[in-house]
Amino acid sequence: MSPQIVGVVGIFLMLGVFLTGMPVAYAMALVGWIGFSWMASPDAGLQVLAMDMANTFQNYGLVVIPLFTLMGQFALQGGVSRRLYKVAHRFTGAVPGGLAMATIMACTGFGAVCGSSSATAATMATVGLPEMKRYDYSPALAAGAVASGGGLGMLMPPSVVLIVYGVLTEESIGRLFVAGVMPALLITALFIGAIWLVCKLRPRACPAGESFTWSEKFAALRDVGEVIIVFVIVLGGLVRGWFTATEAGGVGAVLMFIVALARGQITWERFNKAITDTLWTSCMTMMLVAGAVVFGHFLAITRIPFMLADAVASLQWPAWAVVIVIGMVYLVGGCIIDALALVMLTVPIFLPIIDDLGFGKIWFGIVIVLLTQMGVITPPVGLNVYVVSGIDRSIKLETIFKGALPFLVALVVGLLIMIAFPGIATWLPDVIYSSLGKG
Amino acid sequence: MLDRVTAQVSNLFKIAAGVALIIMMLLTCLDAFLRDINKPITGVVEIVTYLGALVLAFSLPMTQVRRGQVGVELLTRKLPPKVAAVIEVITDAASLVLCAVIAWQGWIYAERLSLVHEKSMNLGIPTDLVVRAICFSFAALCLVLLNQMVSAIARAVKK
Repeated sequence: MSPQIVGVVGIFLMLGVFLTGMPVAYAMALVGWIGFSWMASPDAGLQVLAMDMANTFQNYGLVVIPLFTLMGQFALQGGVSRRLYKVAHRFTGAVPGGLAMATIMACTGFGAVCGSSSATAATMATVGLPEMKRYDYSPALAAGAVASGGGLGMLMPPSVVLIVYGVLTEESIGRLFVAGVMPALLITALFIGAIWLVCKLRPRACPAGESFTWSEKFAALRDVGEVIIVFVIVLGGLVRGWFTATEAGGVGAVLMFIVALARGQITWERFNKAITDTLWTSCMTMMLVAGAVVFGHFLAITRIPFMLADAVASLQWPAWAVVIVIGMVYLVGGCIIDALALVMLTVPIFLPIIDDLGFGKIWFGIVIVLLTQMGVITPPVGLNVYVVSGIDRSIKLETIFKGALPFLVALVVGLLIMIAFPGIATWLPDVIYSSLGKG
Repeated sequence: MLDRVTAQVSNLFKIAAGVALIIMMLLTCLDAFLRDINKPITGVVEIVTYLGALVLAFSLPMTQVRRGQVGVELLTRKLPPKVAAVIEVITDAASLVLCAVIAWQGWIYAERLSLVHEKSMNLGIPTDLVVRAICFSFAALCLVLLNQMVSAIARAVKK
């Protein structure tokens, strides 16, 4: 059997194992180990499995994941999301659909201290949904806004997906973080535009809320000053080279803990929950990376990624068409597999193609996050939809999926804009890093 | 009995992981500031790397106890409970074999590192120690998987 056939069999076998409900990380490691043993030798397979696992766990670059996750957890337990929502509400409350818009803005703000999409969705579901229900918003729009807005958590830096992507592709995490800012703002604007349009078409879906004076609006800003300060210190320090990515995570976590402590929001129970949830999500992410590393070694020995890259190059399709095809793979894949797992699995395959087409790794990283953002709100797997449904059981899954549809359209528009104007992702890091003399 | 042992072991590992996480957070933060005044902590990258490995590895049993690893439950959710339990037994058994092999081969890898006296560059910490700790975590993970497999078998054979 040729190596390529073994590789294809391995990919299908793995997809089959996924359907049994076996954890994705274990499935990737298991199939990768068996496949490598088949291709090389059983002894080589055993060695690769053990060394990949041991070395992935001892990867300094990945230590950043628990630290940034902890920062987000302290922000969550410290009530940052509630304060962000309050501020956004004061600015947009009087506009039809203003509460949904406030939810989106709060998601972007919370994303600045939390790198997880599902954590952002869960947080905003507890904060934003009850308010929107109180004002008689359509459940579809309210839940759709929360589920979709949650995705902004992984685009706005710090982002766990971008960290993992940076480690996989050996790209600067600082640059990736900076690159995420403009697209996150673009998607925020598109989401707000989508809400505005829904409100125009169905005014009863989103009644206007109470209005506030300008002094009340600006007074509320004081409540989120610390979030802005922490974000600026962490991202600014990382970009200016004061800290490495790992140190930025450590500094961010300590600062967020101090903020929560100073506001009297941290109890022993909340502290314990922050630590436990950090351990769980970091371990889950890490096992995905480790599983993908083992599977990646198997794929590399079959040479499938490189042959695929050559095949795509020989098609002589325009670059945008290839990107759209890759996008379709992510969109369909994201409906079945968890977003992060999909990134792990596909980046080693698609990166050589993207390199051949002349797109930068930074741009591709941001596009991948956008695509995975679509995955978390599309059926049947749509993680964020399940998260929101788990928090408010009175809203049916179908209703949330339906409510997320306008946001899905907004994401597609955002993706097309990103393909047409790649500078949206690359301009800011280029400007900042060249002004700092880091070219 | 197995339930109680599993819970205790995973809790012990969780506490160790939590302590390592807090030390790691404080150490990285402290070093960022000390380096700014030209007094960096020697070997901090090594310590943080090893602490990170312990944080993540020691969290393995706890994550499995809460079935926290990402999986695709699209199909199994729709199956009759008995069939789902049988599939669960098979996947748990496969996961158990995988993790046992990682623990066993990891230990052999640690032995090799120990034989050549491989140490970290600045502090001279024997690198096999961390690998052994990772192996212990995978062994504890095997215990959790065994416990979950036993309860899945009980569900599968229940009339």
